[in-house]
Amino acid sequence: MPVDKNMPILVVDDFNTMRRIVRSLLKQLGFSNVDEAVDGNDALEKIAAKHYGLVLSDWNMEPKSGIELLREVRQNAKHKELPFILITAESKVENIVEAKKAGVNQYIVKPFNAKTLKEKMVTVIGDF
Amino acid sequence: MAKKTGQDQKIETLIEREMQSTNPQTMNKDSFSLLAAKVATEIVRELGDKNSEFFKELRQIVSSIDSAKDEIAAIRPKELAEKELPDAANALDIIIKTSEEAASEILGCGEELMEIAQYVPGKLNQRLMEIATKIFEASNFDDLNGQRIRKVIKTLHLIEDRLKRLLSTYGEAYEVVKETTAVEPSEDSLLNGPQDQNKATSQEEIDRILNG
Repeated sequence: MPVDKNMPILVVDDFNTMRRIVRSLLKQLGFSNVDEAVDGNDALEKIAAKHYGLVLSDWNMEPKSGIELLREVRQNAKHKELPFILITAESKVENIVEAKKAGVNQYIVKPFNAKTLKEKMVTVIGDF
Repeated sequence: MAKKTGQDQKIETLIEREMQSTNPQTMNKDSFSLLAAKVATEIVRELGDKNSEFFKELRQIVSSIDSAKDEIAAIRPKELAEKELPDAANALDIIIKTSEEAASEILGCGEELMEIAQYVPGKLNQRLMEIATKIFEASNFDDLNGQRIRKVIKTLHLIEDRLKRLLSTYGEAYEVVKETTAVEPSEDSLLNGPQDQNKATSQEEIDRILNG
């Protein structure tokens, strides 16, 4: 099934610059229906209110981190299958293991480039 | 096991001597009481003798404490905790803020290039999009630097708290000695680096001073 480029995507990061970077790269890839959240709590509210096709989240945020957000999303039966990609500076093995246990679909380490973003998105939502 | 002091060895020698001069078969409660009394007497005698091993070691301990206090005072904990560390943390905050502002401008340029590319055909369109992508990718620096700097700020605040606790425990020992005479500015004291824009001297003010 072809990917619907109009699907809503949620970008979660406490740094405005990073949200803007991801939004711009998504636009280049053809995805313009993008919402933003500033931390895990903000993201949970938005996910509860709207059906997203993909979540791209940072890890290091307060008061709720990206990994905590991921765990809570997966605990909700409605969002068990919600495609979730972590984009983070955390790169230790234990981080990856923890993210995998929490149910992440893909893991992108910062700094990242447009090619990596597309590759990981394709593995999660399909070719586009 | 703790190292034996000269005092410990004296007491040990005393006990050994008393034990040797006592018949183990006839030792009883009274002989132990007598031994304990002799040890206690020896300790009291040592405490009364200012040239004794006990006082020698006590003087060494006091001297070590004084040296440690002098070394701590040399780092000027009050100035560090109340001015230099907060100033350093503040400077780093400003770096985060100004870096974010600059990154925002740069991203704005990238976004504009993307908009323009829509109206430009063929290879030029492709080239403009590539340049815009490079701008977005390079702007990762702002986020990563911000994270690193925030970690440093956290460490500075930790050191500041520890010093403040030290000061509240040992108080006046580390009071800053106030300057009583005017001090000529040295070369170093004239090096203050970039200003906090909220407290900066404006160009107009500088021109006024220069031309006044």
